[in-house]
Amino acid sequence: MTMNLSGGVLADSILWNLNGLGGGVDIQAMAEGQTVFGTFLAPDRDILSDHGIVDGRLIGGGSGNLLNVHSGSEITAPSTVPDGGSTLALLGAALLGLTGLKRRFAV
Amino acid sequence: MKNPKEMSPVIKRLSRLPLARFDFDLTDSAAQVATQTAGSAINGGVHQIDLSGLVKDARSASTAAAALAPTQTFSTLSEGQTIVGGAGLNVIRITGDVTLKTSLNITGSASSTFVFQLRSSTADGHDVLSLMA
Repeated sequence: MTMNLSGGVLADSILWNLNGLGGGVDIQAMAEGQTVFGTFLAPDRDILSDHGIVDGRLIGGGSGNLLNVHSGSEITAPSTVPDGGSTLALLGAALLGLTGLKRRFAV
Repeated sequence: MKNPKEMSPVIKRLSRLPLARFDFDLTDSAAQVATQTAGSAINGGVHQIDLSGLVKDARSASTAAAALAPTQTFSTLSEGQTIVGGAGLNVIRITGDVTLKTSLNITGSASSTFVFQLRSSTADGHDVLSLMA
């Protein structure tokens, strides 16, 4: 599975948000050239990447759940987006803390 | 780390981290961690630090993002679907589970921000968002 961004959309401007408890995120079996984009934010849910190629961040595994990064996965933090205005305020505040989390958790 | 046995205390330490846990597949990684050659060194170590502030930030960010009013709502996402967003904030609410095996297209501009709110009630232990081959 791959995502295609067009028109100038940036990976760092995409947030996949799974709030609270519940089902998780499964990214796996991606082939060469396939990429998924964005910050996958599921602080209290499972996240599994198994041969997942992510241009973004994986943040999850709280409340007894797991953040699993298995073999073949490539997690690459995208370039930081300059904050262009109020519409980015929320994402900017979120990613400030999340960048630190990624550095500690994502392999 | 020269052999899987030495990984055990490392995994135990990592498992104490408050938000995430690393799940090593030692059958995969053993060959790689055993390739240290003579004269080489492994620097660094395992550090246990208080991440409670970052955990709080992550939960706060998620809660704030979940509270945004949607600009588009879907029951799920389909193979090959194109999500078209405008400049600025685009909040895409998805009420059901999503499984994609081929492609998803996201189009907008360099000033577009997309927040996908996955609101399925699927319980823990199952997947709300599956992206796979």
